Formats: sequence, C-alpha cells, structure tokens
Amino acid sequence: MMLFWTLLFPLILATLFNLAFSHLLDEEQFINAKVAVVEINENRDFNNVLDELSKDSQNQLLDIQYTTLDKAKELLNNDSIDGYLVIDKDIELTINKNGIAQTIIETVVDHYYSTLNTYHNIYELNPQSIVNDIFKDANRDYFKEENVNHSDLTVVYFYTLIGMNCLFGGFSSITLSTKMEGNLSRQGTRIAISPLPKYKIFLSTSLAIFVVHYAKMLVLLAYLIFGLNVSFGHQLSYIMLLMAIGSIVGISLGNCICCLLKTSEDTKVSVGSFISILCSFFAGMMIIDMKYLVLEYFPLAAYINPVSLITDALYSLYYYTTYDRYFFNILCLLLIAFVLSFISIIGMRRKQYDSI
Amino acid sequence: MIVFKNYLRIAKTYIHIIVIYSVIFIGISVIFSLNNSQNNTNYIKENVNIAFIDNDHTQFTSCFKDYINDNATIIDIDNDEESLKDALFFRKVDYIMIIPKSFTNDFIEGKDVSIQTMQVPDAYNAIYSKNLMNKYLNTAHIYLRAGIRIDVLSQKVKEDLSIKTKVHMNDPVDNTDLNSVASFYNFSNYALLAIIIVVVSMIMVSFHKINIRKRNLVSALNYKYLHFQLLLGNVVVSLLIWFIYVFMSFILYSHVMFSIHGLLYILNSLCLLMFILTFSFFVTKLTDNRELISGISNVVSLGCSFLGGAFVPQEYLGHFVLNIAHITPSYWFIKNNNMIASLCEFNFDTLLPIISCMIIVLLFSLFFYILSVVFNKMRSNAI
Repeated sequence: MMLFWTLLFPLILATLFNLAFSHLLDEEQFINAKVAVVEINENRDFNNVLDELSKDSQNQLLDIQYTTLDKAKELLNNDSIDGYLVIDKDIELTINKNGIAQTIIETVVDHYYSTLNTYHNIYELNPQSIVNDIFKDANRDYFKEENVNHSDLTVVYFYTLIGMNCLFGGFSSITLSTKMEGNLSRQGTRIAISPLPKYKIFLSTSLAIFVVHYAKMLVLLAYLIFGLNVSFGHQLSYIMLLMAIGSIVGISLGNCICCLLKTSEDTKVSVGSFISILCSFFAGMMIIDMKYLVLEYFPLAAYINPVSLITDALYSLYYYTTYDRYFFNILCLLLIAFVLSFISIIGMRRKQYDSI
Repeated sequence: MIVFKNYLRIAKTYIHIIVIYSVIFIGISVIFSLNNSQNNTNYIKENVNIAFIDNDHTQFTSCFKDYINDNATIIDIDNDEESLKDALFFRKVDYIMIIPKSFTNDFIEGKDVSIQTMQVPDAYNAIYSKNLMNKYLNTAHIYLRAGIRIDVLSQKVKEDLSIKTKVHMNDPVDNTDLNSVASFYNFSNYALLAIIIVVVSMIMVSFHKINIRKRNLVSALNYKYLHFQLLLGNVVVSLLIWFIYVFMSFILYSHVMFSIHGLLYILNSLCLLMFILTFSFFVTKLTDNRELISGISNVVSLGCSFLGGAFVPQEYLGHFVLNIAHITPSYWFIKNNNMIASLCEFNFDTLLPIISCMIIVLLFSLFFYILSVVFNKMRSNAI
C-alpha cells in the first residue's frame, strides 16, 4: 500500500495534471477578432482603417467580412463572429458577450474617432501644419519588447506534486518508527533492550528509508521528464540535490510526528497526509494563485512550508538564470530538516521501559 | 429489517468523517463557483493588468499613467526584478512597462525614444494594450509637431482619446448565477464521488468479514432480502450526503434552485448519485482491503473529475482528453450541467439532449449494478 501512495499515486496524479492542463494556456495565444461590417452609408476613411488592420501579417488585428445586417445578426448568433459594425452616420458596434476580441473591435472604432478629433483640433490650432504632413509617422511603435522565456505556468502544478511526494516519504518513517517503539511492537521491544545507541539505530533506519524513497522520487522525475515532457530547465543535478533534501525533510517530518504523537499508526499516517496535503494546497497544487498570494502576503508561511520551498526552488531553476533563490530555498529546507530531526532525537533519547 | 438497522448503526460511527469532508468540500465548491462566474449583461472592457515603473516622474508621465489607469489596471509591485518577474509568471500582470529616465525631454525634442516592456510571448492582452498606449504617444507626438504648448498637451490628448463608441449588447441574458450553480454542481462530482465511495465502502466492508459473511449466509434470512437491505442502507446514507449538498445549493443560490433550471440540476445530480452508489457497491464486492478502497476512491474521484472537466472546464480540455472522458459518467454529468446553464426555453427539442445525458449516466449505474451482482454471486459461491 505504501508503494501505491508514494509511487503510483503521484504518477497517476501527474498524468491527470498533464491531460487536464495541456491546453489551458492556449487561450493566451494571439488570435484575431472576427468582425462583420454592415455599410449603410459609405465611410471611405474608416474603410481604409479597416483594410489596414485586416492586412495579412503576423499581428493582424481584424478578420473582416462585408455583409448585410440580417446576415451579420445571423453570424453573431452562430458565434461565427465576435461582433458586427454598422456604418451609418455614426459607427455602432453590436456584440454578444464580453471578451478581448470585442474590446479590440471597440478600440479600433474609438481610435478612428479620436484621430478624427485630433485632426480637427490641429486644424483649428495650426492649419498650416496639416499641410506639412504631420500625420506621417503617426503609427510609431514606442515599445521595445523583451519576452520572458520559460513562461509556462502549468509546470508549477507538477512542481507541487514533487514537493508533496517528498513529504510522503514521511509515511515510511512513521511505519518504521512505530515498529521501533518498545511498547508498540515486539520488534521494538527487542531493539529497546539492545546495547546499540539510539542515534545509530535512528540514522541507519532513516538512511534505509531515504534510499528507497529517493529511488521512487527519481522514478517520478524520470516519468515527468521523459513521459510527460514537463520542462524543468537544464540543471538536472540541482533538481536531484533538491529532491534529496526534500526527501530528508519528509522523512524527518514523519519521525517528528511519531515522537510527538502517542497514538495509533493510522492516526499518525492521517496526520502526516493531512500536513502534506495542506502544505501542497498552500504551495498552489489545487489553486495555482495560492503560491503567489502566500508569497505576496504571508512570506513567512512560504518559508516554513516545505512543499512551497521545493516548488519555489524548482520554479526558480526553471524561470531564473541565477541560483540565489534556489540556494535560499535549499537553506530553508535544510533548516527545517535540522529542526525536525532535532525534535525527534530529543523525543527518542532516554526512553526507557521498566517493564513491557 | 435487522440488517438495515445494523447498517445505519455502523454509519453513525462515520458521521464525523461525513461532516468534516462535507464542510471542506462545500467550502471549496463555493470558492470554486464564485471564481468561475462572470457577468455578461453589460459591455465591459477587457481588463489588462500592467505594472508601471516610472523612472522619469514628470507631469507628462503622470498624465500618461492616468490614461493607462483609465484603460487598464495598474498593479503596484515592488520595483525589483524578482517581484516583477514573479508577477509576470503568475499572470498577475500582463506586462511590465518601464519608462526610462529623461523620457519626457527626449520625447518632446522628438528624439527616438522607446519604452521597455517585459511580457509573456504572444500574449493577446499585451498586444492589444500596447496599441492603446501607442495611440496616446502618437497623438501627443502629432500635437507636438503641430506646435502645441506643453502645458495643454496632455489635456488635448486626453480629450481626443476619451471619445467612446456606442456598443450594443445583443439580448443580454443574465446567466451569471446559472453558471455559478453549474460550477458548484460540477465540483460536486469530485466531492460526492470521494465522500460516498469511502463511506459506503467502509460500512460495507464491515459486513464482509469472513465470519460475519458466513453467519449471514447460514441465517434464515433470504440472501436476496439481505442484499436488498444493504442496498437500501447505501441508498439512505448516500441520499443523506447528497442532500447536504443540494441543501447548500438552495441556501447559496435560492432563486436559481427554485426554478426549472434548479430542478434539472437536482435531477442530473441524482442520476450521478445513482452511479456513485452502484459503483461503491461494486468496489466492496471487489475487495475488503480498506486501504485499497481508499486508493480506488481517490484515483476514481480525481481521475473522473480531471478528465470530465470538474476542475478545468471542458472547453479548455484537449480533444484527446475529452475522447477518453466519454467513458466516465462524470463527463456526461458535467456536460449536462453546462447545457442546463445555457438553456433558455423549455420544450421537447431543448430538453431531449439533457434527458439523454441523464440516461447515459443511469446506464453506467445499471452496468455497475449488474457487475456487482455477478461478483457477489461468484464470491458467495467461493465460500
């Protein structure tokens, strides 16, 4: 069963994420606004504007068809166009719903009118300048664009999944710690009377759990990279280091739960999974904005949440070219692992039974 | 009805799980349905979020900022690279605009100036919004060439650009609440699957312990009657959980729920409930391992919800995913909810597709009922 939760379940969840989110960002891509034009009165200037904007180019804003009013209404009702313009004395726009395409059409008409107004104003202000062709060069682009690379938002879902699975390493340590308790299992009784120091037992079992869990994490990583083609940037060794530290945090969390709670194994596992899911929630696994909101308003909550730290480290490897943020997250994770292990060792030492 | 009574007695011990689950899920459903609703009655300009970094601080740039604020939303973000890039990645802003030092002077003198922007490649919003900003600067540029005084420049530009086209909204239908209710019920697909499979199968497993099964089989009680009582117990418990959900929808969206739309949502959800019921019954015939049951419950509920479109709306899912989703009842249930939301008139033609979807979901439940009867027979023979 342990194998299911820590290996199969993340793989299934990753596959579901991949299926559900693969088309999520398509909506962001550039498409042009489809508009029908109904001419009741001819307006040459405006037609020129429309022609200019519907020219076949990379940034073609409008896709235009001239038609009759009835036909335009029909097209709008079928959702084949985003809206239609009626050119009479004024130009009026009719739409079905709100959206960016509708806004673009409206903006085009707004621009036409405002240019007209500018023209009149200038004519009053300085009639001479009209002759000087000041409208030349009136469509300059003042923006110098810099596109950011690696901007696929959905990768964060997969990163939270890795974070969650790191914490799931705690399940194994809960099971094992329970087996080592003198009062809970015969095996534990035997270990309790053995002359071996507690820290040695603690470290050797933890190491064994770590090796097994880390192997599962690598399977998950391999599946994400080769099976689902999730982007991780190019720093594979950094990611593997992060996963190792994440697994250590998960295992120490399991140990810590065992030392602090004196209840049945089932309850401990429930507490462990509750903490993991809660951390994943605040790292953005269910609602991606959550990660940003927490970072913005309660940064401290993000620094003590291991899933959030792991997610953020992976995100910084993917999105940033520098490593400062990555190492800061690693440092926080190491601190958390140290604190949790310290608590568990304090809880374990000097435990003695007069009689079991 | 001794078996039935016993069933309810065991169900009582699970009441805390039911309550905790319901509270969490209903909480999430409400957030979810609020998140997905949008207003469709008035024309509203598309909102573009911009991070505006002004390194020049002149009257001209502050007027420019006012103009941006009228046509978009300026989001305040700390002026350090990390905060800006984070905001861009999480789509808190559509693009970042950085006005360089001495921009105003260079602009007035007619030098070749430019504003640096950072954006996600090919973002629709950014391209549109830059057109708007270019318009402002180009208009200002024309006035400058015509020899306008600097102090009236911004006012003139603003005047020209404040002309607005008349926009008509075709047949405004207020389906904001209908969509919210649809999202609420869509999410219930996950919640109901997750809670009911766990609760019903946990109770049923208690009846499957080998000694109890043997005792039941040798008792005078007819095997079919026993089977019927267990099923009745399942029905009562599932109806109870389902009722909590429906009750919440009445509290949240009372005016939609007290209409034909509301009735259709309830009927549709009842069909799904039938499926969940027979499916959980079937799961307990497969295995008695509690951990395995909770695994199956998680995988089935999450799987159906992701594929069927309970989390990500169906229109955003790829064709491939939707094709697979056809084999889950969740797909038909959610598709039906969305159809109900867009229903304007009620006659045979408009209701037919909705009823067919319900029938498909019911066929799924019939299928699993038959399977569970067959499995049950096989297992009884095995003892």
